[in-house]
Amino acid sequence: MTAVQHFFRKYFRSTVEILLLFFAVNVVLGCVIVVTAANNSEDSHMPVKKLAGMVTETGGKITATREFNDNLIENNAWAMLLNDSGIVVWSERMPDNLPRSYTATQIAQFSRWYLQDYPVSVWAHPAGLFVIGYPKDSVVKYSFSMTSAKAVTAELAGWSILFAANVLLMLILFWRNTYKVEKAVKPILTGIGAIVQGESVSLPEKGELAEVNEELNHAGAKLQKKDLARTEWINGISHDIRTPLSIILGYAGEIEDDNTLPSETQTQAGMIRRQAEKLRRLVSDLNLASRLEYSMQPATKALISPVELARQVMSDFINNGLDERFHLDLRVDTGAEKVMIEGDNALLTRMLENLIQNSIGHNSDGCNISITVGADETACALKVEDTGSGMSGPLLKRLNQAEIPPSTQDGKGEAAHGMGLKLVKQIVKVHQGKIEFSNAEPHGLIVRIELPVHNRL
Amino acid sequence: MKDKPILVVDDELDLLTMIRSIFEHAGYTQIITASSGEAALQLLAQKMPAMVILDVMMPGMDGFELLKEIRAVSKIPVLMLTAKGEAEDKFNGFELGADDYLIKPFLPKELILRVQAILKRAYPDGSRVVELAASSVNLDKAEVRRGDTIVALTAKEYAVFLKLSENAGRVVTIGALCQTACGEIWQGYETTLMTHIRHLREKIEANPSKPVSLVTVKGLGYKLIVKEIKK
Repeated sequence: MTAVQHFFRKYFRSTVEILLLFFAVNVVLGCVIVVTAANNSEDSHMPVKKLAGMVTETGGKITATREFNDNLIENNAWAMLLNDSGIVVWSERMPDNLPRSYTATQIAQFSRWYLQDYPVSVWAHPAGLFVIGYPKDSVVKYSFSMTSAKAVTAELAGWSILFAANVLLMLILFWRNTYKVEKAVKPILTGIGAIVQGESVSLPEKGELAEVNEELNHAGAKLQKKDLARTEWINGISHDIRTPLSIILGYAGEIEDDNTLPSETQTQAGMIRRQAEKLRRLVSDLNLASRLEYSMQPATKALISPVELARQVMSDFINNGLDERFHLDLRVDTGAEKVMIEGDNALLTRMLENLIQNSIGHNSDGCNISITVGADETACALKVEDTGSGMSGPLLKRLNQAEIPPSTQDGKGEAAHGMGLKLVKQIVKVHQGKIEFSNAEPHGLIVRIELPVHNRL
Repeated sequence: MKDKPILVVDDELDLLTMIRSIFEHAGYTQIITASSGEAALQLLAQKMPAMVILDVMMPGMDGFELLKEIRAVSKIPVLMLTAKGEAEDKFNGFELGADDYLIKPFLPKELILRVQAILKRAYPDGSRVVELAASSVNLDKAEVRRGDTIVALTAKEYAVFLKLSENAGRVVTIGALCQTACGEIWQGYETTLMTHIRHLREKIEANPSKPVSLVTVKGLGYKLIVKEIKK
């Protein structure tokens, strides 16, 4: 039996126990009430008062009506009338073995209990004490000695208290059970949530569901290990690829610059060089993205001027020989020079580099790329805008929605906007910023990034 | 400069061959190679080169260990070759005493540029004169010769000019120049920088309001256009 089965069987059993207890209490309560009621309305089928009324004394002679006799016969009962001295002055169907005179003690006894096992009821009659006897064992007599008004109040109060106690007991027991279930299940749900978020899980391995907790811990650790292995694998690949890529880049660059070679060979070498550079960027993006995804890239926070950051990145592009088909332009809104943000310089540089590279990479006919830096009290806005071909609607939608953007290509084989932009989104996330992709009018792509401002100097 | 011996240490023989080829094509004549840290130490014991190019990841003694050994005996410039992650994780602040690092994989011209800059810094020879369109600037004397007149540069002007001439032909950002002129805190020093630039232009340009040597790159910074740097 697994821990879960065991747990729920136990939970079920305890619910049944609660129900049984509940019923038991109610049955007892019910019995008490029934008995009390029966006692109060003992011979309701043969009311003694009514029967006494059917016996009359006229001139020392006692007579009963016919109806009275029929009643007695029907119920197999008998009746007698005692005078004040305890002598039977009249009787009807009275068993022969019963005495024909009674002492005060005997009268007191049978009026409360039985007369030689015959249950009897008594009533004061003008001619004496009217006694009616029922067949043996037909009526159970209990003694109640309460004054009526008080008795009713007490009975009602008892009822209410018992009922309230029952309800309270039930509520407490159910609450206790629910609490126990919740207490046992809550860490598991939290753990599952953490696993979904890719966080590490460490549940206490004790209590009702220790086994499940243990398994969740294992699952979490296993996933983390897998993530780590993947990151290390990607790291390893990007490491192993550096030497081959260095050699390709090195020789291709040399051949490209060697004017003694035919110009066609130089052009071809240039193409090899450019593709190798693309590969270099891709591998580096992949490595950093996977490291960021599993929080393995320590972000070193420093105070950075977003304006100077943009200047640095753009200058690097220009200094590294930006193709003349592309034009870079920096716009600084009033007051934005003085704004500082807290962030990782290398990562933020990479973010802007990737955005500019994205515009260059997807607009081979050339375009203008502008970065606008704006700021208010709380946020710094970096807008990277190009006058290129822009992006397809579905791709924009996916970039704006998905936590992790589509990796390399979309279904229609559209050019890869993938890894570089994925990294941009990750870097923005690391800096608690916001990012939005949109198309420019009449054409082009706008990427708007908002980063929290550290303080105003 | 190009006859200075440079030791290249990398465990990849193909990469060593390629680096040698890059330098020889660029006109360097004395490239020594070693394929391990231990071999490099033996070479260093015989003769100290002018500069060392060092791969970080090597079996046996790695680049950092070798750097420590070198620093124990010498202050020769060292350029480290490293993968991206290593540069950011371990290389922060050059605390081990490397002069610069280059991220693998690299382009031949990136390597040559770095080495040139390091050698220039480490072995400044003779009087360094920067030839501009309308004037020439003697970096050793910190003075400008325009026609027959000689004007001295102030310390701040000199610092700014030196930074620009070290990056001749490249954009140097406003922030980087402010940092050079005013130290670490450059926030709000832009106006001060503009004053220095204006004074510099008055000294080096034929027409300071239409500069041809110290040009503004709109929004980003400044660029120094030089004719040549004489040794």
